[in-house]
Amino acid sequence: MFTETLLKTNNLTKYYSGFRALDNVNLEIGRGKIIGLLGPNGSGKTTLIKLINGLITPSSGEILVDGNNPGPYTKSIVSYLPDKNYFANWMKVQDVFNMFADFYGDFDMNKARDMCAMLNIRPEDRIKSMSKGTKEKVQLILCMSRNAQLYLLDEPIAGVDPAARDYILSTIINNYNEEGTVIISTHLISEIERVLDEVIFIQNGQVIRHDSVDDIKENEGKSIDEVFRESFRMVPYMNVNQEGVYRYDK
Amino acid sequence: MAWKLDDSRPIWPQLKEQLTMAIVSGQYPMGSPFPTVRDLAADAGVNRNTMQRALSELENDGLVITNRTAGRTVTTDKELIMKMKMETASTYIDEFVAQMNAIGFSTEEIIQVLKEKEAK
Amino acid sequence: MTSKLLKYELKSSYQYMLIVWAAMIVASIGISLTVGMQDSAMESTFITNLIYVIPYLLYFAAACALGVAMIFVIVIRFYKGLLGDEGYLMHTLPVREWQLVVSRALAATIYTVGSILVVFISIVPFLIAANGFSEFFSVIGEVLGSISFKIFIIIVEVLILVIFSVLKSVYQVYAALAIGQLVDKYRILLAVGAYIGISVALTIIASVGITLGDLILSDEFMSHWSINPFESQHEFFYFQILLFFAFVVTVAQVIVFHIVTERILTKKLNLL
Repeated sequence: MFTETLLKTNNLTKYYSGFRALDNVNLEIGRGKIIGLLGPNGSGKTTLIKLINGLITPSSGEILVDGNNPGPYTKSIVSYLPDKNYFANWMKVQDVFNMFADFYGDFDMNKARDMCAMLNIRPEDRIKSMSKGTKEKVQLILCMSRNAQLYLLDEPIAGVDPAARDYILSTIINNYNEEGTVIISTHLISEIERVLDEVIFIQNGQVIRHDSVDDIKENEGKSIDEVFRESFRMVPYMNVNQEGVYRYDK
Repeated sequence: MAWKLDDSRPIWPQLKEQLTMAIVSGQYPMGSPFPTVRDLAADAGVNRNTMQRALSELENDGLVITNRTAGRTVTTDKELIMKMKMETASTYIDEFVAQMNAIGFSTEEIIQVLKEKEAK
Repeated sequence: MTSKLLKYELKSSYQYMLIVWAAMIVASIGISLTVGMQDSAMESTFITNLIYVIPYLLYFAAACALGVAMIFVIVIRFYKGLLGDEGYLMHTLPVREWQLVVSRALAATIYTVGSILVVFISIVPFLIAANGFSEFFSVIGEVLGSISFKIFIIIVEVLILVIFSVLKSVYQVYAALAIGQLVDKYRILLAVGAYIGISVALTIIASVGITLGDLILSDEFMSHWSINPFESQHEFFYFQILLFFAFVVTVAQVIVFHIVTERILTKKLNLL
């Protein structure tokens, strides 16, 4: 049986060469939700996702996915879309499909093939020779062709054009396992806020807000994008002196 | 369906309003099968939980009926649809009147203007 | 799971290895053919000289390519495959870290032992060209005929020892790379430092061991070692002890390096 809480972190802290990337993060995330992990660049989103995947280890604190520390079991129920291209030079599309089928019991090869066919990607295509955008789509297809419990999508829509954004978002919301939870990290909020059930705001490695989207909209009458902009407002340097008059320095 | 969603309000009530409109206006005829949550969510570009919530509300109102075998269908209750139509109409009228009042038309003048427009 | 990982790891470099191996053998055949041509006393012109030189250049190039291939298979496949961006795929597979490490170590060992074999095979055409076809095979036949059961045993044991030595060398690189990835900056520098450090430590341990062994072991033992070990029952026995000792030392290093690598990747993985 699965535990009711899918993901839990206890006082999770991570230092990178002296810099505190995550600071005492306590999260509890349930099942069957789409959750936005929102924060500016460098706020700790990727660090959190890498910790959940076991790609880095906590400086202190603990992570539990379905009650287990990151390890072979949690990896078998987590489907991860990194912000890196993880393919090796020798791989053809079919090689990675075979690899996923060999290692993940929840991988749906037919679904992956169909999704590739829709994009005119052939199984015998060599991944090395694909464009960056196509590689990213293949990674998305691999990620969403699994019937996982937890999907961790790190910046899936960063740096792509609006048409690709629509493709990526609809691929996510139409293909995830409904008993599972999807966590999408991004700093592009207006594009995805419509699909979210909950949001987690993260700033300087700290979780500053974790709420349901409906609650936020009902209580504040604003879009998540507006709330986000207000939470993370930065004061720009204006080169204005005390009297409010511009100085002209030569 | 053409969805118009405002991100500053919760999404599910907006979905409910627009689906109600679609039923009342006959876009989904009485007794006809109603699309699945999955299809509607994909069409609106929202997540399924949100669409599910809107549909549950429609079911509570009786506009959509869930059968064990046939899936969801639109109600065949004419009176209910008429009632919903009237409710929607009254919302529109209230809005319209409020706006007309705001630019200085009295209710009589509004009726006058409408009649003149109709005559043209 | 480990065998599946090994399958994909072998797949990652087999094309490159096969091409390099083939080039090596083709070049060596080329050399032996030109040696034959020289023997048939053709007039020495610029063109013929060129023809004589080309296979040697090819052989040299193939040998260099083999060296690069070995670095690729041993160092780069581990560094890029487990500690670089590919690590995002490999470390999220539902397998244990030891399986990832072992699959790479086995693939590297298979390719290294294969390369050693290919180098030996590539010498055969030289020998044939130098000695003539019939003489080469008669010598081979003689050698094979003279191999006693004891020598056969020793050859097999030495081969096994070679394989484990290759595995040990591979694992020493892995342990150094694993140590290097502990830091966020200057990872390669630390890995190189760790490799040198391990080598120095091993040399010190070995020289201490040899000195101690010298003190402990009797002169009688040493005197046996200095003469032909294949002659009598007695010497064979001593040689077995030596081989066994070398085997234990090598396997111990493999185990220690494996544990160091596996523990670091399990407890302190630090993908950038």
